[in-house]
Amino acid sequence: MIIGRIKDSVFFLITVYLSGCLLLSTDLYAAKKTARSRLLADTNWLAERLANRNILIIDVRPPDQYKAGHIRNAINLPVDDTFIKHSYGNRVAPPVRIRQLFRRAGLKNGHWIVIYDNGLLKNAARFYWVLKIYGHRKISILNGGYNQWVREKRATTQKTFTRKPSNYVPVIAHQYLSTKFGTLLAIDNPQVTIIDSRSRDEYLGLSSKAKRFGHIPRAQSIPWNMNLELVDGLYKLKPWGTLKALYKHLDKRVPVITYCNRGKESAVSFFVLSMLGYKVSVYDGAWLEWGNDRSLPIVKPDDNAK
Amino acid sequence: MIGKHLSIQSRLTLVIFVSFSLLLIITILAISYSDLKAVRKQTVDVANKVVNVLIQDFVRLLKHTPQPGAESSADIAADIAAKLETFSQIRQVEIYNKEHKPELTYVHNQDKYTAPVTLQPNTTLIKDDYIHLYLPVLYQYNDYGHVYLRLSADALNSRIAHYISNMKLIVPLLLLFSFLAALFAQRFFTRPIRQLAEAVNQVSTTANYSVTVTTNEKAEIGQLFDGFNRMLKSILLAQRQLHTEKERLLVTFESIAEGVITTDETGKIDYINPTACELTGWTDTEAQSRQLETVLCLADEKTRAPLTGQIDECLTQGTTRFNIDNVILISKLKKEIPVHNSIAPIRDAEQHIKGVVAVFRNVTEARELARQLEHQASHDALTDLVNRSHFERRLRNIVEHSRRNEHHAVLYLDLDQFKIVNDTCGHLAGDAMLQQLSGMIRQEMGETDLVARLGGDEFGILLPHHTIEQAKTVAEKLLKLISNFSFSWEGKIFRIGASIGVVPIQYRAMSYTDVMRHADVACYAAKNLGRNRIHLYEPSDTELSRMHSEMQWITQIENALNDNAFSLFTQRIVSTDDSNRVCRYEILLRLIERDGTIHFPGSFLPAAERFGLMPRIDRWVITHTLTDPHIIRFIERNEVEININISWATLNDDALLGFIRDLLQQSPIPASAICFEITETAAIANVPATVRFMRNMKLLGCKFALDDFGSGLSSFGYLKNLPVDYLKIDGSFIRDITTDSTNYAMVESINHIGKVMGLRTVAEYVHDRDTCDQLRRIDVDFMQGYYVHTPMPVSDLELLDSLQVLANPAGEQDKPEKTGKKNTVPAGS
Repeated sequence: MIIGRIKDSVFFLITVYLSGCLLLSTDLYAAKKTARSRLLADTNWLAERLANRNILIIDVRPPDQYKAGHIRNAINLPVDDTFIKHSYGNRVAPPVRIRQLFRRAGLKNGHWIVIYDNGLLKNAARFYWVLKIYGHRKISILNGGYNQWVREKRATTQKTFTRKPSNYVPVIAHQYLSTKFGTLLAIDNPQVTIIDSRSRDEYLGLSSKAKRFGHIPRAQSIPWNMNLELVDGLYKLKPWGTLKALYKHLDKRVPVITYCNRGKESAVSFFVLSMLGYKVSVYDGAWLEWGNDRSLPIVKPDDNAK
Repeated sequence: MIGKHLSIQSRLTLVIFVSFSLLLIITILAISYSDLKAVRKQTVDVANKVVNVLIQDFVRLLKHTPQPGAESSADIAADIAAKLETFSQIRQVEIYNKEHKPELTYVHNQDKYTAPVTLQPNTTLIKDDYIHLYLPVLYQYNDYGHVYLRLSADALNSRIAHYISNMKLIVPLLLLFSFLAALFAQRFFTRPIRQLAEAVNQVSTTANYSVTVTTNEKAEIGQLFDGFNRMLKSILLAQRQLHTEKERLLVTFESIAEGVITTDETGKIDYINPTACELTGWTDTEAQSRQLETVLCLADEKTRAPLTGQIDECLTQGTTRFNIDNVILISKLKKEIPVHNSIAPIRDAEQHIKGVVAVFRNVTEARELARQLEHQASHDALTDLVNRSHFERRLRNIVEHSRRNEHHAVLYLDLDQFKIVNDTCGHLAGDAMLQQLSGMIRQEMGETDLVARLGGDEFGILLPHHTIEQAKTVAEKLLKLISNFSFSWEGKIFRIGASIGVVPIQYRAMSYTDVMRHADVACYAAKNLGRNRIHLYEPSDTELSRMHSEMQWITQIENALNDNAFSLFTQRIVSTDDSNRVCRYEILLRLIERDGTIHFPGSFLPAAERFGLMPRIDRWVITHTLTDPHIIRFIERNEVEININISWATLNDDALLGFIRDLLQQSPIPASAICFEITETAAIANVPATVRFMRNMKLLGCKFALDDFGSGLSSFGYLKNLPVDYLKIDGSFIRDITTDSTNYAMVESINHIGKVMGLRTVAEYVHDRDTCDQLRRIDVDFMQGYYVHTPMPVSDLELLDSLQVLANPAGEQDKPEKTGKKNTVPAGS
């Protein structure tokens, strides 16, 4: 009897194990396939899923633009609301604030959030990053944004959509956020790549939004707009291959810190690098902090030339 | 109980194994539990330490105010999160400010957010594989808020998993070990038991009781072994004794003259001794395992019907049978052997029947002898006809048991001129003739008729179920046969004749003595009337009426005895001289009917005598006399003697002596006050019996009177032998004493002889003064009669006592007895 029972349980365990393996492998395969398309959604894809209650479409443009017209079922959550604006720069809002904001807007932790802006991607990417550092998982950005949507003559509406308040819990995900201290350490650490997403002129110290001119030591200059292209008068992300080529000199195993002036341009770089599979974070203090803090080292290309 | 069919070894193994295993497993579980507890505590300690380390960061976050150049609260949060991430067991952290708003939510990157468990501060909870903690954020005694931690119990779980994986290895090993230990212990403990069991087995299969078992054990096991050895020894001893007993028994059975067969409980033979083999004709081997009925065929001697069922009865009910008479054994060769046999059950200690034992003996000779003796006792040796006593027995039987409509007859045959044969040719010739003649007569008679030689040349023939006419025909035929018979002896030829008396036996009219007497008389009459003829006894009318009245008396007497209808009277006997010194009273009997009619003994005693009721009547009289309260009181006050009559028939009663002795012992009347009156004829009829009775009674102190003396006229010689005290002169002499000089002389001589022999004399029937005077002259001692005293009921004795009447009142004188019969109780005849 005991032997029979052991036999049964062994058989059962083997069955469970095999079926578990099978399920897991199919799941992994599916995940890989959708990983790319999930981050970047196209209009067709979204149009098919407008009525899906699990998908929350967020219009991150300012309220007046939202009121002028938006995609049906999209709620309005302006990206600037996730900032705390100081004279010395914009910083991402603290967890308490984000929690309050998201709950009021009706975000749920399980939502698949689709973000769109007018197409320039700066606002959408920034919102994307905020969601990332507060622990959200399933997020897509509508490629081409509202302008593309309108260009394709898809239905828009002026009706305001709201969701019921939720119990959203923002969970801090520190790996997407680099602090001043972390960035300072990265300067001397060859295992970390620093990317300057500002314009080339700003990198070169020809112009600056801060008191000082130049860039963070060891930073590479890849301006955010290099990720975009102008198609028929509308900005869109460059094709996959082009983007891959743009960053191919970077080691995927090495963490990447991006920065810009206020944190929006760097968010675009963050989004693209994330999409490409890099370990990437944003230095939120940005040049407005770094450039104004005289205790921090900077590089002026002129000095190098000297 | 599951262990019922298991051997003691298995049970012991099981018990030891289970308890050992349980013990080991419990120990392991206890150790594991304490270890797990330690691990849990360790985990909580780690969490506490982490909180302590990060407390400054928490405070920084909680007390954050945006400042130029300072880090943002998101930065601090990210910083804390980064630090927390190094502790893999910390799965979720939430930091609350004083308003209990969450300032930070951290979830380990391999985990998911779950709503915090509500807890009191500083408490720990293990739930769903997690340890939940709720700690205050205290820094330098200032409370900044709270922190909630959810710790993975992975360490715990991995520890448990570790234990389980260890267990997988250890438990089978432990089980194996405990099983082996149990096996060893079991073997150790059960070795003596097994040894004992083997010995028992050996003894029971081989029946060899000379086995001994040895052990080093003391205590119970040792006692068990010793006890076993002792038991075996006693069994061996008992077995030997049994064997000896059995041998002895067998030898006994083999050598005795009785046949012995024993069976088992189904009736199959398991033992048969040589005598039984010889008698039954079966050999030992043949008889073994056969049914007892097959071998031992018992049958009734007369009917030849087999006696079946006795053995079964014995087997089933346990009844013991003794077949003494009329049993024969039919042997295998159909030989018939008369046997005595018994069949008895064999029982075991619990009284269950385990078989039967049949014992039988060849009684051929004994039974033959008995038959001969019996024949001799009842038959005449000469003629081989039945003898007188047998004839009388049969006759009596028929007389007493004949029914109303049955007719029987008796022939009484007496040969004429037989004496001539005897006288001229001697007894041999007479005997030869008697033999021939009796053979002839017997041949002539029917099967049911009984021919007997009554003695000499007298024959009796009992003809059951013959009317008087038929009997007469038979008699005539016999007469003719005897007349035609000629007997030749040594050239002489004799012819003889016979006189035959024929008597019918009538229903309840005659006693058997009557029949014999009548037959004798009839035969005598036939002889008187000229020999060689038949005389039919025909009772006269008066005789018939007498017989019928006697028959009526018989029933009346029997009723009277049963209902106490008899009554005792008494008559005084006084002395002839005037001194009247001794008073004596004779007890008389009267039968009083319901209507008051008084019957005197003379009317009913003859019938009672004839039909054998006298012993009962005498006993009645003696009993009532000795227990009558009037008599007892009277005797107590006066010096008197009581005379009681005893009849001839009663004297022959052997039990009478004891009967009277018992009564006397119980009665207050002294034996010396009793005088028994026995008639002369009764005393002479059986002198030895009378003398024996008298001597025995005299030893008690009783006196005797010889009644009616003189009527027998032959008895002076006997007087010497009889130890009597009084002579009562027969009344017939006294009655006419005044007129008849012969009687006077008779009385005088009797009186004289009595005086000479030292006896007192009593005169009865004294009816007048003259007689009285004559008696005085003769000097008779006592007198009795109506002149002296009229009989009265015994109840009047006390009246007499009070009146002190001593003499006869004059009025009695003119009252002679009406009947000629005696008023005393006569005895004999």
